[in-house]
Amino acid sequence: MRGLFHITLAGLIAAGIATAPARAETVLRTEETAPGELDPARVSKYSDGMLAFNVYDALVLPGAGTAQIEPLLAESWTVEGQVYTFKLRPDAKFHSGNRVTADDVIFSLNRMATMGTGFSFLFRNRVETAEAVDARTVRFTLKSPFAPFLANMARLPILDSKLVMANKKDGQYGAFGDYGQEWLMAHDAGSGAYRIESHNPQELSVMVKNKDYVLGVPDAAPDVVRLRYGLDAATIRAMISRGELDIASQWMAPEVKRALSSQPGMRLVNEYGLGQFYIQMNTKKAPLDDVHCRRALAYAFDYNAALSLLTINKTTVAGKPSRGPLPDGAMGADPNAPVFAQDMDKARAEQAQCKYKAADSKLEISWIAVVAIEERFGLIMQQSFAALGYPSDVVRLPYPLYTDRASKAETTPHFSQIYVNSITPDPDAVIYNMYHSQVAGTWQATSWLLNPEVDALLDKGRNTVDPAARATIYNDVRQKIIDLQPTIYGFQNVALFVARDTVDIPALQDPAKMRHVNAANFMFRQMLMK
Amino acid sequence: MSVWRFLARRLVASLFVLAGVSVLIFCLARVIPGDPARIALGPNAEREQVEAMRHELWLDRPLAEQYVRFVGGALRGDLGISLYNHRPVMETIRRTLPVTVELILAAAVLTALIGVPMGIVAARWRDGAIDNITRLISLLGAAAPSFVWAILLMLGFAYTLQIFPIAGRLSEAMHAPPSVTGLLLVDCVIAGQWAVLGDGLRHICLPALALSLSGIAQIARMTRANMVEVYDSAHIELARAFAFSEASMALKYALRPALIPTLTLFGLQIAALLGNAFLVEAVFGYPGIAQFGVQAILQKDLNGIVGCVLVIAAAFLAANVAVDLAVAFVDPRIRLGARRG
Repeated sequence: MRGLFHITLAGLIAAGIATAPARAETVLRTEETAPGELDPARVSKYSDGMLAFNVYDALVLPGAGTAQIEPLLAESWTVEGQVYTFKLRPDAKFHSGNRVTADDVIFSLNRMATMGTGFSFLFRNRVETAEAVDARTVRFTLKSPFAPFLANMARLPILDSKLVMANKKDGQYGAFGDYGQEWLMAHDAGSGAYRIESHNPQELSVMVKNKDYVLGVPDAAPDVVRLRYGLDAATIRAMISRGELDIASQWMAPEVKRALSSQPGMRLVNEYGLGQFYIQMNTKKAPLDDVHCRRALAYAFDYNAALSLLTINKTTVAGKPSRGPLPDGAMGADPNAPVFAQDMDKARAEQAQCKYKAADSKLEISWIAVVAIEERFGLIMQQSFAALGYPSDVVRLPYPLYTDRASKAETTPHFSQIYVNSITPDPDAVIYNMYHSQVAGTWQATSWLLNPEVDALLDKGRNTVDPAARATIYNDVRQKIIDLQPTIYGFQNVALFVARDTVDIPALQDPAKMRHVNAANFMFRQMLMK
Repeated sequence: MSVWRFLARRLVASLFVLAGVSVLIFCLARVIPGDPARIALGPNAEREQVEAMRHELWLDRPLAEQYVRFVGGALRGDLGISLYNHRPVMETIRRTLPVTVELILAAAVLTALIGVPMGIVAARWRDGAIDNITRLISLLGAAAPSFVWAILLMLGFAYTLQIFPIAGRLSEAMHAPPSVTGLLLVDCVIAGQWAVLGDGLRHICLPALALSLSGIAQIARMTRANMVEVYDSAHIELARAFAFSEASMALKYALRPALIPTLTLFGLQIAALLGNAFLVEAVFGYPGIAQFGVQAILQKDLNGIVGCVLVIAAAFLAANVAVDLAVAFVDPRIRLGARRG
């Protein structure tokens, strides 16, 4: 009798489960700038990164809350000198159902390096040999020691080589045809937590949850993600207010963020430790070729006025004071170093030691045409420097003209304003590209520092594998650069996003879960719909 | 000279204009400061990569050689690869132009259907209450640019009243029918997808209205002014003497001569709609050619700039030829004059 009761009960429960209404599909709606590049070899912007981090997986992932590297498609790795050996997860599969193999990793690296676009500069001319030891083991032997290699692997999305080659067209890469470029612009060949359902780079990408994802995707993560591109600020404002968007991009004006975040059901979430706002000083142009003048101007700059432009409300500012070339949390950064602040007494003392008279030197302060707030920073500089007696012009430069002028020391403006964000979790990605003589004349390296001592330290940082030794090297180079003062360290960038209460975004709410790499905090599998 | 010869002459002249525009924009796009190869490859590209791309784009060849190569490609329907979105420019134009064309056609229809009757009514009851109201509406329509109207309409009817959607061409739940003409509304009719058609109409209403308001104002004012002038002329007096009905007089004897300058203005309005559509599309997130065109200019996408400008120039010329034909059809003096010539 009891047995019959249990069977009946079990039957009723099973029937109840079978007839329970299906959970409604959850949709996350967000927006970014156009176009959204889906081909992993063309990733460069934030929107491209959002696609790449969700549709594709790399071997490793930037650590959450640390500068360490986490395993992703690779379950483990070893580093022996210049030899990096990665062991792949046995159960990782692409969306096509194909297993992720060592050959796919080698194909993805070769494709990126050969095409020479996007983040290919992280890998080009680094690898001597890449071999598939077996289906699950891939070994890279580098041409020379290059410590950032492991961190850089976080920006190498792994492609399903069989699927790509099955969809290749005739092209310039010999047997590889077009390397699947045309097909990959609208389709995915990844293994990520989301797969592409439809993709229009100017308008909209629709991603759906990959239920077979190797790391699993929580039920509360959105079933569908709709990523829209190129919406106007007024449209974004109306859409998020009406609940047609869940997260707005960081590119809205502070006053719009202020207005939206004060509405019920909305809040600000932030992302920091990724990058900074720098004002590069052209050290090859008088009077900035004298370090005392540079220091005088750095002390004279009104940092608080700059931060006040970024103030959203009493508790939220889209920036925080900088401590030097490296953002907080980066290897080699010192969290206890003093922040840069205006000090007119020190400014005058340094100016007194400068070989140039302030009144004799007219300074050119440039700002990039489409970044309106830079004009206001330019005016703050003009006012700050005038307090020391420097006359100056604030000059608007379209970005293409800026890059042209930056290519020669004699045409580079006295002051260039740049935002630099971490594209990998390695300090090399930030300061090598700003200060090494090899890169002088690029958009980031407009200080023309050309200092052999700094170059040697930056090279040593690249060549040293031991993390502790590297941290010491980057600490040394940080102090050396601060001493040379080729830059005014404006502020650490805090990216603010307006989000509705319908979604929890732990990576943007809890510093211990934040990954210090561009777009890595927009992994939708880690967002939870309410 | 027959109407067909007149048309042929206008078409040949248009081709010369188009060729002139192509030379001008080809050269202007290359005068904008900045290296397009460097911009396309991104800030971290190596020098040899930039040089290789310059070579690939023929930027290391003389300008004349580049132009001849461009014309050769254009005649085969190949406008090159966009440096901004890395896709063939022709493919992007093929995908986005019909969206803009549909929006402009909708705006043109609204302009004609609202503007002309407003002018007629105002002229018929001139200096009365209806005329004053019409003039006030015209003044408001002309006073603010389209993008201001776009934002106001969106805030009023989409955000506050929630009668219309805020952005896009279709709702999330709707799926566009297979593309036959590229014009969504027409494709819906062909496929018999009436629910999608209704949704598409709801989405196009506000952008089309925002785009047409300035045109409605101008067409209404022009129609009214011409109609008033014609009402004072002798042939209308004669018609009155013969006791023709008011409707007959208005539509048959007053409107027709008054319509000729209106039609010419309408042609110019089509061109203005093309320009204004760039801003209105941006406000309503309408996926037309605007966003591509603006980004092409900002990113110095040489092929994209030339492609967009040529397409817009061609559309402008086509609209003008169409208006010339319409004027010839309405005005017998032109039609008969052409035949006699």
